[in-house]
Amino acid sequence: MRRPDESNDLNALSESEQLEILVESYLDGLLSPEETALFERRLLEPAVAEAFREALMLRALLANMPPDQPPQELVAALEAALVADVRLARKAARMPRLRAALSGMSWMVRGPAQAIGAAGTSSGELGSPLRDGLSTMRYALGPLAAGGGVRAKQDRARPWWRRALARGLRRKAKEGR
Amino acid sequence: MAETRITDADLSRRCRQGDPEAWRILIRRCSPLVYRVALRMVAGPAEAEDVCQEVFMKIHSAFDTFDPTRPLSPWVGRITYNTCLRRLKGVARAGVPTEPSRFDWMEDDRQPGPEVMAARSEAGDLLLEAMDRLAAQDRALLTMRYREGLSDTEVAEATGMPVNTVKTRIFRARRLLKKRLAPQLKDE
Repeated sequence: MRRPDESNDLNALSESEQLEILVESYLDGLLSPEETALFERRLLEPAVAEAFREALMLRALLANMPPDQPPQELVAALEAALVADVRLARKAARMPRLRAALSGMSWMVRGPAQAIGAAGTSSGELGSPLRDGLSTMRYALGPLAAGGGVRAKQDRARPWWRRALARGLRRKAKEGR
Repeated sequence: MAETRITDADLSRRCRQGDPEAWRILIRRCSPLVYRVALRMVAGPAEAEDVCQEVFMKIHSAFDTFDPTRPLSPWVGRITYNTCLRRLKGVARAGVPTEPSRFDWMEDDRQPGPEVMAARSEAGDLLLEAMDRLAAQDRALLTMRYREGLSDTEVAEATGMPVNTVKTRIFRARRLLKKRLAPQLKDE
């Protein structure tokens, strides 16, 4: 049976309080089958029947407590505001992918063009314009295939203290030199 | 209706994907709870509407923290309850009376809807009058428990109170209501 407070002894409550707890437990379906049968037999007693009727009425009043629904204008305003926010967030989430793809596509043209330009002005060794074009195409289509923007490589395998230690060692080696 | 067939888990998954239609369904499903709890806790319909807007903005921004395996109502109830409490504390600090007038929401200039008509019944009036004499937290507990149909555990989850505290407070609030409504409960 349900109690208003588990720490309270049920015997410390008045008879009417105990009856109320019993009725509420019955209405909440918290009684065992035996307790339910016993309570239903007790419903013939006028005091129990009265308590039961009062509990039912109070529940009905509370369940139908006005207002039934929020104002339509409010719901419409909430829908308009939130749906606009959702659309905006969705658009913003899609943007980096699109921007990365467009930028990559532009490099498909600019990369080889610059390589050709450089080859024409210097005698240094350069990769073939075709290879440059293909590699930029990979960058262009990569974000679309991966389903997200190009992210900086993160060295997650090494904890921060190991990275700090390595940095310190490098600095020390440089100073030693 | 298709809206009612969507489970909370499906709805939250679709909301997380940024489906505008899912957000619409979520608003229609949760706004009655938010509005009714807010109206019982804060002063009047205008502030309850402000609470609604604040709550749904919070829901939108914090939706990633919601566990989709859990029901939505206690989570939404918790945001609403905390938002109302924060407002009540702010009002208390500013020294403005916090107790709402029981008929404030009926003085709205909009056309009276069916809920207003129903509220004009005597029993409804008396219940609201009796409710107004309870603490704001107790009004929220009774609304969530009996109006919104949340279980004691869900109410505890929504309010952040231990389940036993919820049971005790509801028990005491119900007794007070019964005492105040005794003549009406006996007459009916």
